[in-house]
Amino acid sequence: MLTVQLFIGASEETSKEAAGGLSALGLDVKLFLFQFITFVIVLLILKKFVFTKLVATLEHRRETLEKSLDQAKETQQALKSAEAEAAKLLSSARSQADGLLSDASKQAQELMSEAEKKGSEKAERIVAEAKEQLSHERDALRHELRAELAELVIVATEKVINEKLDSNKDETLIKEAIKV
Amino acid sequence: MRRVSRRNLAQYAAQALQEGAPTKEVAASIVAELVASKRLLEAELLVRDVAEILETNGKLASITIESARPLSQQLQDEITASMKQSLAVQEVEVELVTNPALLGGAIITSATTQRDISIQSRLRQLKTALK
Repeated sequence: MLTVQLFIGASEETSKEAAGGLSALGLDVKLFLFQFITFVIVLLILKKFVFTKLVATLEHRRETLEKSLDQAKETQQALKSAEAEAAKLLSSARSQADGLLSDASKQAQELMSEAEKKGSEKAERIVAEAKEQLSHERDALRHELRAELAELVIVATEKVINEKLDSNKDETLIKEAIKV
Repeated sequence: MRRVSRRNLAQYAAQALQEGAPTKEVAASIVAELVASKRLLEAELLVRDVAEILETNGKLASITIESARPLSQQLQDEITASMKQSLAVQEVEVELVTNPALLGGAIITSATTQRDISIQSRLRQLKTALK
């Protein structure tokens, strides 16, 4: 305050000297000086206590914004990369699915073919077995018939021999047999 | 008492018979041995063994002629001669058996051989062949 009063006192003297010229222009020098000094003081105070913090705050905000922008760019790039990756994965998954479907189809066809083959083989086997069984039965029947026929032939021969073979013929038969 | 085997008994009897010992005496001693050793059931087998030894040694052949009808003496002689020659024995003893089931022909059996020339056996062979 003392400085201000001194300054005001000094300026009053100076203003008295200059009053002659400036007053002519309708300007109050004292008031002007006072306002000027006040303005400078206010300016200094503002500069010291407000502007620095304000600038720092603004700078901080600008940095934050830049960081945010960078992050946004990075995020966008990451998003693009993720989208590309997802597309790649999707494509791979599709190709895998196509492959699996193809394999499954192939396996199904193989199974069907195998089942058909087995069925055919089984049918052939059944037919072969049936043929074999028929053949066995036919052989058994033939054998049976042959045995019966042999029995009949023997019985008939025995009857004929009993009727036709007398003692003389029998002895002739024995003689011929012992000569051999 | 030591037990004599059947084979040894048969050889003893055959040797005694070949040396001219009376058949009754040999038979009596053999039977005595069989009775003593409680083997009377082996008598039939022993007789067969003796006959086999005698036949093999060319001494005596005991043959059985089984026929459907009684055979004439001439045929019996022919059979005896034939068997004597084929078995190479000095004597042949013949036993005749009539069996109508043979239908015809004969079966001649000795201790070591059998000749089956019966019609029954031929029919049996035919039956087997036909089956």
